[in-house]
Amino acid sequence: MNRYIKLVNFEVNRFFKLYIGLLIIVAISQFVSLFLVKSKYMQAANDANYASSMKATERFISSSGLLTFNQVANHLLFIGPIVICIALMMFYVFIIWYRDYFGKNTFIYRLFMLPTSRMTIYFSKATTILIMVLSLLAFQLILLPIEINVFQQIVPSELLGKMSTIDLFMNSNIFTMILPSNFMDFIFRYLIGMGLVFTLFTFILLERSYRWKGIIFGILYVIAIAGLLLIPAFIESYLFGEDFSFYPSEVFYMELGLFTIIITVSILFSKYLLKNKVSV
Amino acid sequence: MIQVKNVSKKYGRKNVLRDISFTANKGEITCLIGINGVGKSTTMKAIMGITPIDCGEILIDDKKMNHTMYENITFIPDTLTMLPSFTVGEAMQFMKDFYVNWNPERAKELLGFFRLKEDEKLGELSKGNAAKANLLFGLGLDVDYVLMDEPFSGIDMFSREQIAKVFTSHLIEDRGVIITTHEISDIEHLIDKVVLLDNGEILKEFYTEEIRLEEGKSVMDVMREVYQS
Amino acid sequence: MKRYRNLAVIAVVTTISLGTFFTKVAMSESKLPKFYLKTENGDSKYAKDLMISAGYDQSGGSGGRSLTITTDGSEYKDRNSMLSELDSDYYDLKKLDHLRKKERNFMRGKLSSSQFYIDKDYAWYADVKGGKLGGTYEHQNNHFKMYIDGLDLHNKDRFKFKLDIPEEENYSYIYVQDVQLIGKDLIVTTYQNKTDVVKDKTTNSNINVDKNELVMYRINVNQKKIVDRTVINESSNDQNTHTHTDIQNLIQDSDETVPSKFDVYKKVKLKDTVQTNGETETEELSNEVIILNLETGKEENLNLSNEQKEQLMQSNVILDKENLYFITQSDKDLSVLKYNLNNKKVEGETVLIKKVDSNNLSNYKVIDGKLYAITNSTENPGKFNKDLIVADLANGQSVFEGKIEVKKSKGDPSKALKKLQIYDFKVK
Repeated sequence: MNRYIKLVNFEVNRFFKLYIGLLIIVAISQFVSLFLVKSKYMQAANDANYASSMKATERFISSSGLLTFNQVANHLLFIGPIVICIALMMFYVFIIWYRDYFGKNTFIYRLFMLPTSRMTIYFSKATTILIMVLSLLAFQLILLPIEINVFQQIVPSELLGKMSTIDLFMNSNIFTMILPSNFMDFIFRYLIGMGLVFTLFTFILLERSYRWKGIIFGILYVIAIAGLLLIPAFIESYLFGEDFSFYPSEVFYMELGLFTIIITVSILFSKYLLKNKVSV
Repeated sequence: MIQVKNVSKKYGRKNVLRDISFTANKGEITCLIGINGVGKSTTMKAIMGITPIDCGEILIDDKKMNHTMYENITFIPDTLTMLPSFTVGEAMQFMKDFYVNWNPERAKELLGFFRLKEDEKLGELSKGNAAKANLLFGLGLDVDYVLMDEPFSGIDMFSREQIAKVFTSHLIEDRGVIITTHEISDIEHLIDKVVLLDNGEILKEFYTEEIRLEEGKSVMDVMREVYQS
Repeated sequence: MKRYRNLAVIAVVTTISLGTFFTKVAMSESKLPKFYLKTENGDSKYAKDLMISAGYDQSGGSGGRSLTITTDGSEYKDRNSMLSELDSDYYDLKKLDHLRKKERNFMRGKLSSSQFYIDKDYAWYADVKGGKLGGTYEHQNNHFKMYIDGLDLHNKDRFKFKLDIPEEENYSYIYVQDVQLIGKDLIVTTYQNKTDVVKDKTTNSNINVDKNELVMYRINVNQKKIVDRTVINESSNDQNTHTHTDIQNLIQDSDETVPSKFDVYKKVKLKDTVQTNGETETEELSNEVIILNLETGKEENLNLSNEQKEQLMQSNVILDKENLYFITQSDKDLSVLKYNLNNKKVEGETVLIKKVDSNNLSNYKVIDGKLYAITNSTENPGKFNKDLIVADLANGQSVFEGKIEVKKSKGDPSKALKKLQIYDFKVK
């Protein structure tokens, strides 16, 4: 357990510089989007001479609506950095293994010669991915009230549609995908994400064990998993015929069961590969 | 004792190791000799369990390799096993963190012996210093067995002298050492046992002392004999 | 230890941040007002099994929240949750929700309440399926088949079979309107569409002409055969006058699963005019209520005077058991005329429902001869009423008056009521 934490710490420290860079990009880009949205709206408002009279203000509001933070949250420069972070983390799932092999780095020797089970290495890398993703979310959660506050300062109060952080999550924007406000949904979504990470790790280890053949095996493995997950649909369409359909809850529990099997198999398979087939 | 029994390994279609068997004892310096690509590094990595073998068995003190043994056997390859961004000091701290058998005093001694500085970045070291740093990380562990892969290759003369000195010092003492090289002139006088490899096979395994006494030959003589036949 | 600084900071900040977030979400959920249905007048038995669907508009641009209100209290729907959607009460009729819980296998995949027939002994379901994978249809040759599934509610015998539909290859879609058991036969009425390609006389190009048909299938359950197929009515198209008639199922049925020997629909005459901007505007020229007697298999007209028919053209027609109720909403009031389908005549006089605020009527249903109406009204600035009235259609008197109230509100309840809109309800 001790060595596991030390490895996680090690991996986190390696990633830290890049991580801080990401945070800065997110912060800057989102603040810029804030001002851009406000400017665009104020441009329209000033063009309509909203401030000339009460009636003009009302008219403008009834046609264009109040300016809410949700419009900022849908702006390209707000969503963009989030998407970049997601893409980067997905990329890092691969890099977190390959960086120990390539370049001036043959750190993989040291990793494999550590007096700890290789699964510790495996889980420490997976944990690192999880921690980095969750901390990026956390950072966004810290940034939001600040952004909302600044936003509410710079928009004239008569044109402002007030919104708290929680209100933002009830709206439809990128957060419905990455941070569902229902706790169970959140846990569920990120468990599936971790499942994906474990599957990708198995793919990587297949490549590291068998090189080119490994990539083919890996692709077959992924196809097999996809096939497994489609079993309920298959049963419904072909096995039972046209007049049968599953209840959504039944599909859910079946998929959950299949998913658990897939994760377990991925981890056990990775264990086998790490112990017996992977070379430096 | 390290026992390699009937080990074979293929890389793709190439038979890198063909049914090789030999032993290396604690307290002895065993040298694997052969030209490049003959399977020396592969053998070392196989013993360390970081490259899988296709068949055969490798026992260390009569036990199969598992991760707990890394407190007892270390491998010093000819590449850096630490992050280039680490300083020497950080790397030593890393070893301390993960290995129970890390000996900080001995490490400090080696530091002084090799004249390395703690705050130097590993990636910026010269080849000679990097090799010495590598040695430091390996020898700083209280292990019974040390495996070294080409410790002298591409190293400047002064560093080679320093490294050669290590073999006679208390730092090696009663450990079992397996060393690979294709250049034995620096340490011929230190080697206890020689294993000659060619094309993935073992051509001859002998004790230098015995050969010298019984046949009056040096290691070089035997090599000439064996490789030119 | 300072080596662990980064990890420690990240771990702590992440936990606190996410923890705070979910705590805040939970707290803001608990701050939502709790409503309940209070009996103001009348017999509370009418409210007992009632479930009102409503929307609460949280301010701050967070949009509306769906909730259900009963006499016991209210329950908000978890908006962003996928998990809580699983196996929730799906049907608009409680009896179907109950049947699903009891007969899980039988109810599998049966989603449309109008395709059920349920009496005290049997439950039947009819469906027409065909077309290609992905739910697309061609103009013809969709290989439609009728799927019949019946359950004996007492001994749990199951009757499941598949039928070939005569002439199905000519239709682009067939869907089931109603299922009834008349005697020993299952009567399935369907709405079917044929798409013919004809030459337009004016433009001389090929155009698709839709023809809709109302078809009645009589199925012998024992023989598992369709023994009769009749086209009851069909739409028509008059290219010269640019009018077409169509069959529309605009008759509200309070409960489509109950046994009834009548099928009621409207036949409307529509005129299409092409505007200058190229769009087509359709106006309704006339409409007529037509009754299909499933026992005889023949259509019947309403036994009303022309004057009455004229008056009732703008009314909403509701079918409840064997009665048609014509409900007319005017500026001031709500009036109801009852027509007995068995006796083929109007019963009683037009009844005025006084208690229902006709201006702010949100929704109403007729169940067992009683009118259930939901209103959202503002009495004067500051007073918001969300009422549910149940009135006896025989005499127009209310038998139940209920009001949505706020449970233990700290502040002014009218603030919460202002943001509430009730729009539908479900009874047993």
